[in-house]
Amino acid sequence: MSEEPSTSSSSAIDEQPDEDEDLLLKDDAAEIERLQLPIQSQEPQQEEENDERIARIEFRCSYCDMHEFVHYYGREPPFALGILFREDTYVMRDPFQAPPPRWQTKAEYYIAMGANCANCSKVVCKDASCSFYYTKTLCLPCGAEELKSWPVEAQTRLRKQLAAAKESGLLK
Amino acid sequence: MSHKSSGKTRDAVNLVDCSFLDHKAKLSVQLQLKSRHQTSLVENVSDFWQFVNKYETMLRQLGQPTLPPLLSDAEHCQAQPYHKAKHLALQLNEKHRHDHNNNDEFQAQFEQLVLIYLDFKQKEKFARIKKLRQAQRNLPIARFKRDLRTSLDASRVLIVAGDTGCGKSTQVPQYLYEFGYRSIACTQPRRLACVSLSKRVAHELLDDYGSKVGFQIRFERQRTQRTHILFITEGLLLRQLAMASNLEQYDVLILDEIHERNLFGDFLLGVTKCLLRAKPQLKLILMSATINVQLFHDYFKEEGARLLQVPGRLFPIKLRYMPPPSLELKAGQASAGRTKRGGQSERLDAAPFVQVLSLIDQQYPTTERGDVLIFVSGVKEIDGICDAIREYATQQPQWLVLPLHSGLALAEQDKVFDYAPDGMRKCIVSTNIAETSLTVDGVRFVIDSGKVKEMSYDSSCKGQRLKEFWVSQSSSEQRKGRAGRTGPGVCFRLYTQKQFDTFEAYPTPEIYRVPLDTMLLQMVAMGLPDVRAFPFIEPPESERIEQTILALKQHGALTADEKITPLGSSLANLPVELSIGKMLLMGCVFPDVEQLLTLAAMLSVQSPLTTRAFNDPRCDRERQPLESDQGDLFTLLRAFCHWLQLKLGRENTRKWCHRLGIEEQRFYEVCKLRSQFQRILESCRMAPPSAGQATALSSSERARRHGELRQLKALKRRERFEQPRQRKLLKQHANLEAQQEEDEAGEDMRDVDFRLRHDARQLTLLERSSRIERHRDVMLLKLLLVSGFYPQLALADEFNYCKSAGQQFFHTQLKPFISMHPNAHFAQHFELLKLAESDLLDKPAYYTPKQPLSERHQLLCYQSLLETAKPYLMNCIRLPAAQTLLLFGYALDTDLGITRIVCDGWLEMHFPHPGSGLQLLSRAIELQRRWSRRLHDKLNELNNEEKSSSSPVVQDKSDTLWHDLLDFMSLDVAYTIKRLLPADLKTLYTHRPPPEQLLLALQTNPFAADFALSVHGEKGGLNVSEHVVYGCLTEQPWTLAMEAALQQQPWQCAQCGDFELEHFYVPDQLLHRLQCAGRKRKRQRSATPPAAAGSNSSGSRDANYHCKQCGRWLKLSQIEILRHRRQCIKN
Repeated sequence: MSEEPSTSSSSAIDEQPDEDEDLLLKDDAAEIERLQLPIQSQEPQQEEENDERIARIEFRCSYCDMHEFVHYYGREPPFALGILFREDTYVMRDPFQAPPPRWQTKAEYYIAMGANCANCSKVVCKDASCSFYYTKTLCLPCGAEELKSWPVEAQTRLRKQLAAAKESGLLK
Repeated sequence: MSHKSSGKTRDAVNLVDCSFLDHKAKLSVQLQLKSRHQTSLVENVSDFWQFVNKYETMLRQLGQPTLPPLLSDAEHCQAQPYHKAKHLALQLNEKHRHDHNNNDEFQAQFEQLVLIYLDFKQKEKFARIKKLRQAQRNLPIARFKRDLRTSLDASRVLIVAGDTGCGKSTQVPQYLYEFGYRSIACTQPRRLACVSLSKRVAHELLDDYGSKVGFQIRFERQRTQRTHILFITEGLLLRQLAMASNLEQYDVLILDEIHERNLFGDFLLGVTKCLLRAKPQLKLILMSATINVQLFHDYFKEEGARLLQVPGRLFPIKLRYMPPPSLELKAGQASAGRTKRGGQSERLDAAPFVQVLSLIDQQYPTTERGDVLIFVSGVKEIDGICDAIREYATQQPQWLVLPLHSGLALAEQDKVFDYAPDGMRKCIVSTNIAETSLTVDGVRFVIDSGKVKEMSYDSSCKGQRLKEFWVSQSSSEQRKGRAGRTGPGVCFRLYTQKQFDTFEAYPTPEIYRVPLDTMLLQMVAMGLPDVRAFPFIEPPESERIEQTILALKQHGALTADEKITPLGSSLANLPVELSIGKMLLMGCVFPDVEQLLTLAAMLSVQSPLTTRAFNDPRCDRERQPLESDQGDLFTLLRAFCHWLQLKLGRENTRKWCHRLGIEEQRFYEVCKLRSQFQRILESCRMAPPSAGQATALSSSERARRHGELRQLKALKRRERFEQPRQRKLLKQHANLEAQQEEDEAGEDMRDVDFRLRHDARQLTLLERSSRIERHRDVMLLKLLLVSGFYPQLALADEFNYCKSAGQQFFHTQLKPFISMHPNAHFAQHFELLKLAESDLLDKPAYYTPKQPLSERHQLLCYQSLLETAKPYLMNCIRLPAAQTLLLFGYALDTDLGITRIVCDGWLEMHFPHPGSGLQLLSRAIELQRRWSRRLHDKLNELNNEEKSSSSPVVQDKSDTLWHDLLDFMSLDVAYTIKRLLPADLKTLYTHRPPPEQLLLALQTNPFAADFALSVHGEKGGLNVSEHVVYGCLTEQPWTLAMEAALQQQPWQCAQCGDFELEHFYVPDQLLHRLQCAGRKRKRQRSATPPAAAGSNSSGSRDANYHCKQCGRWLKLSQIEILRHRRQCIKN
């Protein structure tokens, strides 16, 4: 019928290959149609594999068992503009900020979750009851060992932290 | 930062004589990064400078104003000597920074300060995640995570029973995701819960801005290819499961809140029970409050269901029974007063609630935090209580009143989650929505009215009843539990312990309270051979099932042997009430469905007119010009049309709606529903593609539209990526109006959505489809309405003519003496339903019954029967009585002379003018059959096509059906109409076959040639069409008198003109019909296929051959003439 071409031309307006395409709440019919095909198409999955926005690096604190997936391990996260870490760090894109457009970044769009203990190399999170940073990250037990060689100011700081951690029962 | 090595030689920065704040402008440049996009080092610049200020002040106060010299990289790694900077794991990345003076100590120290700030912010953000995780870990359900996993490995069905607050709804879907399930569907009974849960779970998965978690509700969905956890309403999941191809879609189904025992929830339980057999991979998790868990466990016993009981986390709650002192007395008065005032519903007394508030004020200092949650039965009660408390709050300003019910806009509902300022208390007045579904933290006091409003279904009159009941014990306990979620609490029950003891243990499941037609039809459509065998968790009464099946058969949705008909399967596809669905389908055989779509959408939403629209005289006044004397439905359509015109003119519709007391949300819903109907009808090719798509925009229009879309999408994006709404501090209610205005000042997102969906062209079309003013449009739509709502008809009481407005009564087939809803247009303008003096006609001498004879009798067709204070007819339209009954009646019975016609055994019409009954009935039969054949053909055509090809349906444009229908409806025929009483039915039928000679003479059916005549075994008489039995009614004195009078008169056939009968005797007339030449000619004309009809439009003039044998004029070719002649002679 003659309606075919005109239909497609008008719908072209509605279905602009726009970047925020998925913002448009699509209708049920389209939905039903889409649902009828099992979601098995290879395309999105391959795309997903290359998508740097998906957190894939497992991070689990050896002390508090905090378990997250992070986006980056190292010193210079590509999504964190302007800063470097002094040691290899587990870094996550900031989930509390709206994501910047792809390939761009924004201020403070990162959260350092933890690092490996410089001494025993166990993974340890940034929590005060799990790790301490003085020139490097140390888990609290290793910190307790090492603190004797430190200046008094650093020692007091760590001792305070150890006491608090003991109180909360997280450290044996 | 190797350059820092030279820093030691520079002068140290001393904050006593300088401040970074004095050099903001210069230093701000340093925060900028080298990048294509204006990127800064800090997220919030003003927050940063505040930090600088605080930091400087702190150093000065500590007496350390001199900033220590900066370290080199090498020094950073050495433990000695101590330097604060050695605690910083961060450093600036020079690669991304603008060139600047490396040797400036001041600038270098500033950079150090930036790092201290960033480090601080990092700790904050980390703490936020940590806190979230700790809160999750502290939930009671967390300890059962491992159990959950092992149970799920061992069994396919798992029941998680846990009280509200144990975290099951938010955590279980996440656990499953963690266990590796990637396609998790979790049902919720309410749309709102779907949205809020999906937001919450996304937040906990640190995916606020992603799409791992989605939701799908009617009209709205947020779901992408990457969505792994989907919150979906029960109804929608059912629809998805109805399509066999969708079964593979999910690897685990969670049915949440099954203890609520919704219709859909119960239905889903049965469906999933069947599904487990069909899909061996599927896992099923049922989640419920700890209410009647055994029932569910037993139900899935054979599937080996595991039960996981999670104790709730409740603080102790003090229980105080506080029945209002004079409760008994007042109740007695109220009911006495009610009968006196004629059913005016009594207002809920707000005093006991205020008393409890004042008790709280006396016993608990405002320094102790704690909010109040009040449970009442309905919106009206909420408004009443809110008013009373606001008044109380004028003396006790610490109270912030917040209503909460499902009718509120989302933004309004969200307010209950906001914080009250210090020293103040929130007082949330809610329906039972806050009982299980919505959880407000911080509630310390619960005030329970003990009441709930529930819809129940009365199958005896097919009406619904909205009534207030005492809650069940389990609901009452749920309400109490809300006080102990964040700390010890108090629950005030405004009833006695004794009363509590008499409450039902559990609320009545919905399946006992609503019509079953939609559900049963859906079951048959899903392929269930016998709905009686459906594994209901608690089956409804078998009598109701039988009744429903009968109604479905009458609607033509099921065949006599309970197979689904093409109409039935199309109906099951439509997500609307059966009646509205049927209306849509019946209308699809007409060329123009645009108006019907709008009408059906309007019927399917809650009434847009709020109570204020009727209570506020200003609203009343504003609405006056829109009122239609065709009934409220048409008034609403006018309002909707006006609203669209405002939209076209880009005017502010929100204000206009407010002025008329219209809930604008409903109009948006109408638009969405309408396009949903359109899509569904188009997708099953019942309707032609909408004109909106067929007519393309011009190029300039397109360009303009493109710009507009861009703008609108930007607005949407902004809204979506705005910080997810944080709990805010509530403002005091004093400036409620101002706050409302402030809320409204923002962009109207519903309007944005609306404009995104509708370009100018579509809007114009929509507007046109709602403009229903022409008589023929109104009449056609009314016909379609009846086709859906039949047998929901009501006849006015015979004494209405001498009664006042309040005393107007109507009778339905199943229930006599029902009133019109007082807000209805017909209730105020009841003269529209009366016969005027001039409408009354003189009766022939032989017609003795007392009923008035007129051509203007009317019937009401109502959308629903709702009983609140008393039973009311809702959403009525008025129609010519006889025509409507003859077209739509399920069972029409006549006498031999067709002077009496009885419809469905409850309405009797008399046609005392000779021949009028026959004329009307035969036309009705013809039209009714044409219409249903048309529908049948269309449905069949579609069903067959689905199997073979998929060429679009050719719309038959040369169509006179609707024209003929309109003619029929406006026929002037004089008749009387009355209700039959049970006693009348005893003597109604002859129970004998018609006279022998008539039977012998009638070889073919004079009413419908292709319908085989048969004797009706029970009533007597002859079946002459699907719905009509001819000659089964007994004669009455006046019909005999009429026959006698007519014996004297000869009768001449109006069709052929050359046939005469000596006596006026209807059976003989019928016999003549079979031979009547005029009639045959006519019938043949209408039977010629449309392809040949083109040249045939002028009828018999084109006929070129007159057969002397059969007396017909025919248009035939030479060969055909020969063939015809031979046939005629043979006969």
